[in-house]
Amino acid sequence: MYKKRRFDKRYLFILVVIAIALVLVVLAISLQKDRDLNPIEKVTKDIGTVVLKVVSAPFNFVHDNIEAMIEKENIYEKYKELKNKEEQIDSVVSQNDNLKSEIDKLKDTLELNTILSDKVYLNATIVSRNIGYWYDEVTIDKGSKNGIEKDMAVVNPKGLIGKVTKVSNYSSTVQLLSNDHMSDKISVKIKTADDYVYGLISMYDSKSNTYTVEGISENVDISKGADVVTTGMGTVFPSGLMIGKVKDVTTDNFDLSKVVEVKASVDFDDLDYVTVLKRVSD
Amino acid sequence: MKIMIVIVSFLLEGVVSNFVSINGYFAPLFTLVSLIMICPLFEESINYYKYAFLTGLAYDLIYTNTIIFHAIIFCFMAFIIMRLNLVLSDNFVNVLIIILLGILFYRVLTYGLLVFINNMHFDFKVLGLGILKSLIINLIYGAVLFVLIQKFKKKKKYSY
Repeated sequence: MYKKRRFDKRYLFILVVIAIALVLVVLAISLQKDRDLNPIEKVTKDIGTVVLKVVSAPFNFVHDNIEAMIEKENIYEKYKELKNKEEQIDSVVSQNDNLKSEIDKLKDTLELNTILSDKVYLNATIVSRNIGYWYDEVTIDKGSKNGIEKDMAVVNPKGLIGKVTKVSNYSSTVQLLSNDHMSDKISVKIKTADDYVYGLISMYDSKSNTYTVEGISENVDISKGADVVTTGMGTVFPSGLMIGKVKDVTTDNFDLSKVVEVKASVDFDDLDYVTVLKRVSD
Repeated sequence: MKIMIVIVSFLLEGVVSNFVSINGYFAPLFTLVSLIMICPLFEESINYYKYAFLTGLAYDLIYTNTIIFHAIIFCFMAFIIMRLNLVLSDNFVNVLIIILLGILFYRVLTYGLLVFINNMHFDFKVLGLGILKSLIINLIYGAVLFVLIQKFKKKKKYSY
């Protein structure tokens, strides 16, 4: 009897150890960045996304109507503000057309097929946001059948929010820049008086919604409020995507380089509709 | 009834996630709460484990893309929830205590594993905030589910 109890305890211990090892192995495999979804995962994800879209529809309808009602307040002031902006639009559009034609001419002259800022747009709606809490991911309702591919940049009207990490047929997973692994080492440029300075995003702070940009030379003047955009260097993000504005400039511990705190242009708490950018390459 | 509670909670978690701040103080964990709430409705523990495993698997496939990670975690949570149900009787306050402890275990377990496999950097403040942010909305949801289940039990004379 005594022997049997000892054996049971050992057996249980071995089982627990195997279970823990199994969990760790599975987790390590499943959280690999470059892992592709298998066919079963793709089908289940697509079905789940469709069901979620249907279930969410009445809630979204009510939410949109409430937002519309709130928007209607102070409508005359908003109209006046837009009217002022509209007067400036014509000149901006003509300036933009002029610059586009200049770029095309330069591309022809230099025999360039594409430049770093070339991109194709695909609009999508967010179906679920950051479930599981730790992953900083959202699911969108467009997949490979709609032209989405892994590693495409994702933006909203305010700026860059992340990139596509997993793709199924009719839905995709977007990892947000608020994730530690995502915001690490993104190449950005900061507007100075007459030029740009280049640096790398080293971290994101969710509390203050700011990025830290490092690797900037000490002898460069950077003003608060300067625009920070992507450089297009690397393979994922096209150039010119808005990251944020300079909030504070300090120096590192050795006084060798500048550390810039950048207020993110995107509010990660308020994401509904996004645009996926396909970078056009040679 | 049990399957309906789990399915509705599962879908509601996805829907609610769209209307609350990503890093705000209302992080929904309705699927876990529903598993806690249906625990006393099972007569055989093996059936409860099956529910936990399948729910976790659906969670992995539809929400988090983590293969069978949540399936295993939810089974482990089912084990803890059953032990807590043996110690604490089935009344309103005790159910809330079980939800609180369940969320605490779940967050510590998932965060600990993510740190262990080097997917995240350990920060006690982040973990504490993660737990804190999950409490309010899930305790409210648990309270609502408790009242609904009690009403349903009275109506159908559902026996534990």
